[in-house]
Amino acid sequence: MSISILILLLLVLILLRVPVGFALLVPSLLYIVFDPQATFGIAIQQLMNGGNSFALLAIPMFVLLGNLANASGITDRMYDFASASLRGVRGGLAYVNVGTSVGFSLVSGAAISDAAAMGKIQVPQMVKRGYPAGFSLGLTGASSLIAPMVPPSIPAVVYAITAGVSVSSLFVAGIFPALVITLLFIAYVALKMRKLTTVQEGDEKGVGAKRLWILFLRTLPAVGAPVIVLGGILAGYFTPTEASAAGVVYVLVLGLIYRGLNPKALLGALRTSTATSASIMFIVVNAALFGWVLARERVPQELAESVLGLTENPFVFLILLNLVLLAIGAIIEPTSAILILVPVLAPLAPLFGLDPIHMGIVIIFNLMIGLLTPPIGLVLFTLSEVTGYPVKTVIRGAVPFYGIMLVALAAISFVPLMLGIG
Amino acid sequence: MSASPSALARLKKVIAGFEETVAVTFLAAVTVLLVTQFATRYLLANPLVWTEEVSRYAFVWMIFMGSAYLASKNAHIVVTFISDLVSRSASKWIVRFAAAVVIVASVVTAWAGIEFLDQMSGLLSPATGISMAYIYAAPVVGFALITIHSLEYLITGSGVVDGGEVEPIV
Amino acid sequence: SGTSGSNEGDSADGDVRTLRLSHFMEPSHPIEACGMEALRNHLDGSTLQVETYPAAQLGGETESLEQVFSGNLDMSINGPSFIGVYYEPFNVLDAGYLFENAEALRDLSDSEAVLGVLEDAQEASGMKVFPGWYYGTRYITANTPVESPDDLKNLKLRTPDAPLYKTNITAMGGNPTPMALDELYLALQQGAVDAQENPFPTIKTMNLQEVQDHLSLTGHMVQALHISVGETVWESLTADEQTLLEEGIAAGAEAAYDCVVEQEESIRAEFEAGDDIEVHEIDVTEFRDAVRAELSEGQPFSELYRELIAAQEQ
Ligand code: NA
Ligand code: NA
Repeated sequence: MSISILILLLLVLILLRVPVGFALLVPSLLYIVFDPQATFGIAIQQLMNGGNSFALLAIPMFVLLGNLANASGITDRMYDFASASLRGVRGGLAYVNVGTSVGFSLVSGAAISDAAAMGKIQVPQMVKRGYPAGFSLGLTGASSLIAPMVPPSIPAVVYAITAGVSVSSLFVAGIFPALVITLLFIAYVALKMRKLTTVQEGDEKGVGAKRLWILFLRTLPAVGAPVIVLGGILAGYFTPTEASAAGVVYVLVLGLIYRGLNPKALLGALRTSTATSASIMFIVVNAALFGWVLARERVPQELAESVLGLTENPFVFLILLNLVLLAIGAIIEPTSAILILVPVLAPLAPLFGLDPIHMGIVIIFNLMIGLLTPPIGLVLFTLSEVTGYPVKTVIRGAVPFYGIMLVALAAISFVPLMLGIG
Repeated sequence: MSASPSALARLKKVIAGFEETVAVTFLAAVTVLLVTQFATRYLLANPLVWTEEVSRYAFVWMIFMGSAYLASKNAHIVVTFISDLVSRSASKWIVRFAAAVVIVASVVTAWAGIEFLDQMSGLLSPATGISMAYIYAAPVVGFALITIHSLEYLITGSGVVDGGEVEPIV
Repeated sequence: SGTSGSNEGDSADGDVRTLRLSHFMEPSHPIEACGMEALRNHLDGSTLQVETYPAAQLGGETESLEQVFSGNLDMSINGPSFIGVYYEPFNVLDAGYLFENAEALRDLSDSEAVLGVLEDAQEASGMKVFPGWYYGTRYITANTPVESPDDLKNLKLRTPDAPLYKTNITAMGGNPTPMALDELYLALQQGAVDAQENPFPTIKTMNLQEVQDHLSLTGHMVQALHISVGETVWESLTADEQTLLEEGIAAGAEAAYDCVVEQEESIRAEFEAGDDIEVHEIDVTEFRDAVRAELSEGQPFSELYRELIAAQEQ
């Protein structure tokens, strides 16, 4: 079975309204039918093991954390305080969106977790204030990509191990690019706010310093959730997955104290979280099976080798590398892509005079952009799932951010090289 | 279909309710297990060693029972570029086509999975020693249930289910 | 067939049969770079080829072996604990303080006792299991030196999620905490666990010397990895191909042994010269006695364990 036909079939099925998970499953089953050395058992094995990962447990936990924060009234308090203190600031909530993602990135190692937690809370609030839905979704999705660039980062750990480079050096190396991305987003928001006249900030006119202080005190316990999650990880009490569960317990207790959380609301939060997590994970497990097919046929390696065999110039090499990675990132989930590609790509770095750490950052950011790119953009699907907006609205909203991220990608790729530290 | 529509609807509601109950229970179990895991690591000299494994397996079951429940609400993530562009009757045919694809893939996966379960039944999980067949059964059961739910969309061509707690993303 | 044309169904490949082999190590690991390279060289020009899929790209250790078992993969190379899932007594080869050192493991790898275990494993699992390739000797790292069971008492020590690893560490006086290998660096850096145990190459590849201060030469497990081939695949080979594969795997074992030992020595020298981690020679008697007392009775493999230890003392 030709791989190009399978990828074409995947795209056609997605366009014909076949659920994304099934659009991945069907070509994989066809591959198995036509391969005499594969049985359908492999489908079951890959589907189960695609979800059988302790690190992935952070996804339902962060979804639950967001829903419980809403159900217990904690989000309302934070929102009251944020909107009161940012009244009059043009684009306040948009800046809050970028800022919270930067904060969250210190806690979370995965973009999907950030998109799930932030999308649920912030997109509805922004839309309520008159921000266009597309812009709110695009900004939330794009800024969620900061999470894996900053420690802790799941893709960074996987890359470091696969490429045999220092994890901590890679962590340190991710900070500058994350800063560049953040500043570009902030600049874009500032620019965009000149045109967005529908946005209403500061409807709490006349909020005095005393009222602000009261709102602050009311919010203070809510801040405990990120403190527990972030502090718990950094101080070494929890692994990221456990930390998300600790956050859930804290919010639960807080919700009981606030009396905003009765058994009915708790059950409601559990039910919504189950549906959301299953919806995201159904794509993840089917993507694992499809990834197995691609790995077995050595597709990423062959693509990488044939494209990279074309040049000796490091600049051209980096351009080609970026193109290959963007293409692969659009169809494969980042961790699988790193495991498959890096053994091929890492040995190429020294041949072009590149630092493998620098190349790691380039690879990770490329694959992160893939999370926001159709056809298999898990952040797109996650945002659609948690906010209820159609996938196409999320994609439309993400379009302007592709431009910004490509600028950031160019800066991350070429500036270190030009400075001679690549 | 020989059964009356209301009987079918009732049966479907019972199955969906069962799926949701199981999935929600497993999510709650995952939370409790994770909390137990770090609590015992700090409170006990010998931390529990099975919580990690059991929480992963509960998560796997949550995924596939949750997926079956989503199918009952026709709420799996889909892309509707094309079906939004075409006429209403053409759109119904697209929904029927998608349902047929889902049914064929689900039947193949569930049916073939039974043989795999048989092969795996002698293997035991490392920490708790449960037969791996019980874990690999999750996708098999999930896809079997998805088949049942998807028959309705094949017949009606309706992509939207009313009255569900889950908002369909269409 | 597929774009890579690696499949036996390809008529373009003529009569060449290509077997897929999956493992979890990086392409630079001596098992791949030396062992698999020697295996490929041995088969070079013959009708039988082996294509490796490193870095767990077709699945982790458990999954790869399951794929061989269920007829979805030709070959996989695994530690004894993974094969032990299919034939419990095979775990003996991962038992603590079984082999004195790497040399003892190599010398016993084609002894009657070990070959008997391999045959029994084949009978029980339907997979042909080949003599082991030396993988490494496991040592404990922590932020304090570990010289006696007392030093382990208050340390949360990460082990792979396999029962025998936990049994070994518990017998040494430690508190095993199972955790996935890819979470280990962060967990050690952040103190979620205090200690871990691995061979030198893994410690270096995972950069654990960045987050641990002391390495104690406990040598509690001297390990080999074993190639498994599904019986159906094995029986589909001609007698010549079977002999060739057997010889190739033996050549791989030799090459892997030399490279792993050399790498262990060079990494140890590097650690000893550097400031990242301090290497401690320790007296293992207390650990060894405790573990041997624990494993000599009451385990499914206890009789074999005593037998293999006695064979080394002769
Ligand atoms: Na954000
Ligand atoms: Na992060």
